[in-house]
Amino acid sequence: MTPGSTASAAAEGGAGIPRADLERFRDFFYRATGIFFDDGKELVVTRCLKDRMQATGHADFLSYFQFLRFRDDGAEFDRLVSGLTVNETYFYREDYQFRCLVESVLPEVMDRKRPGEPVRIWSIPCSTGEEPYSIAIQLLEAWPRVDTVEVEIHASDIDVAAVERAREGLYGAYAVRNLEARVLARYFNRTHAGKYRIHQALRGSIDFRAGNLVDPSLPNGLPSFDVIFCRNMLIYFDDRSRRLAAQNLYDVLAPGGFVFLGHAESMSRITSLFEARRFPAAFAYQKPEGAQ
Amino acid sequence: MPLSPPRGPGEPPEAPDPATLRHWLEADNPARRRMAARHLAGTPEASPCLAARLQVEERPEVREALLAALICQDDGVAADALLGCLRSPEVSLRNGAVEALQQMPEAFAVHGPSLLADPDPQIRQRAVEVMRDLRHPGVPGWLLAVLPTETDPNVCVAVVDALAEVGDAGACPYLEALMERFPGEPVVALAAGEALHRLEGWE
Amino acid sequence: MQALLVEDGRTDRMFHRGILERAGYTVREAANGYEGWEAALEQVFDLVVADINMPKLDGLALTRLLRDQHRAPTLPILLVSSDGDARVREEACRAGADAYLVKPLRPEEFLAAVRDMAGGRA
Repeated sequence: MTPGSTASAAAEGGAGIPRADLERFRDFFYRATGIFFDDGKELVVTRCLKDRMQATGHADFLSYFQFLRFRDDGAEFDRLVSGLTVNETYFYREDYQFRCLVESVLPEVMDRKRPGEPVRIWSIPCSTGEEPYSIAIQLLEAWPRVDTVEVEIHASDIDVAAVERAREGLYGAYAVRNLEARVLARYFNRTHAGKYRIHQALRGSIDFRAGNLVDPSLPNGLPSFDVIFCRNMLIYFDDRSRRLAAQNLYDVLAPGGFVFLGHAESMSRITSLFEARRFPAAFAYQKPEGAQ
Repeated sequence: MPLSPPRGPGEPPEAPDPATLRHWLEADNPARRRMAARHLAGTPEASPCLAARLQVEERPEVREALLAALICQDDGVAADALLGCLRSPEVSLRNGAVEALQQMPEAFAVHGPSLLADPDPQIRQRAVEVMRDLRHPGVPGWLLAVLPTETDPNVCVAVVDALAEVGDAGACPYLEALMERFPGEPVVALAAGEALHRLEGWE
Repeated sequence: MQALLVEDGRTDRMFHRGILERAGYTVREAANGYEGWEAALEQVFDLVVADINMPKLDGLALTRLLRDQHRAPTLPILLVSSDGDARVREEACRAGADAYLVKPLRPEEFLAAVRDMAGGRA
């Protein structure tokens, strides 16, 4: 591969990746994930691309890009997205969605419920539990009907070790940094090692199990959910997996049920079968009420 | 605590046999049709009945399951049915077919590229749209080959936009020649100019 | 004046954006119908220009959504398409669009259509 112009000569020498190539990558990545890198992100993107080029043994951007575009089976795409996105979990991450749950979504869900029917919420992926526990805490703290309505919280992750840690409910200070002291005191015990352990009653009230949203047989044996939190996962999937996941989300949702996606994700990540609903605190995606 | 531990899931119901599922594809109940399509995905010899149902299905959630199932089948019958849907007057079915074909690169490669020579520029444009996200190494060559002779400016713009992403510097002379063929179409010059800017650094 | 431009083709997006900006609009872009819909939910626009053939959510479906469910049923919507068939123009009209133009757009034609729509809705 010989550089044909000064543009590439300047780049391939190691200073960076040519602007034209970054633009090419940006368009591709945007179509694939919905994430658009503005010009301020040039350094971050360049660094990540160079890491991936080195990791996959491609000396130049063209050959890496052609590999990614034509030959990758999804594994490299997954690593690339991981490298380019912030992927940490902590209590009350994107907390405006928990506010939306209580302020806007649950009232609509309750309008449809028959007396005695439980409300079912699913957190997938639940990772090490921060999200489902946050949902539980939000309900206990902020939902007026929590004492009179039966709520089931289910939580699943493909990572069995993560699910195990979620059941243990043990967290460091960084994971709980968004929680008010009052909330921390009310639902956690401090351990000798300075960590925080969620109260047994909360740990026992959540159904944790391993699960894979891309498994076509997933809907079998699952109850119908009223609300699903599926945040910052679909973005890592290739089209085929994302389509399967979206099908599963649709099939396990009750008519009129809602899905919350990650803040960088939009309806483009799921299917046109869902309707985008804009609430004061957040967007959510609703399965039509007339559906079955 | 008011939050109750959930009861475990029930036993998963047995999936019906393929003959029953094929029958359910024609059921009055759309939820049953959708379920049949989901269960038939990936089963042998399901492509013909899935393809046939797609031609007449109007419910969007069933259509979606049929498209997903055909992608799973990933065979010639499925690809041909989807290529046929590119001619549908219904835009949402066409779009669904484009997205599905993008997921079946080998099956599409058999008859899909010949659509670039279809007499209807709308069909040619849809073929380009499939290729825009198709994971097949033949894409750059197929697209490049039409540039000298494509007469529709919208198709040219679509081809050039796609080449700007997947092509290399070998496309540059073609792009320059294209600009000369469409002197009265500023949008063609805009497309080609941007593509040249992106591609010329590469050999 | 705020315009929402919903168009999946990169060149067409650039081209149409240029025409709108020269006509004095501040343009927000969306690369597919879903993003267009979410943008319309987030912000009030004076004009929507959308391509019909877009992946995921096409321009006709977007128009129907904007008309049926959005709080601004009088929002000026211009649909564009490479298909010059009269049938498509009828469909655009039935979906609720105010105007329909065939690509490639002629800037003068585009601007005249936009002026007519803005005048009609004033």
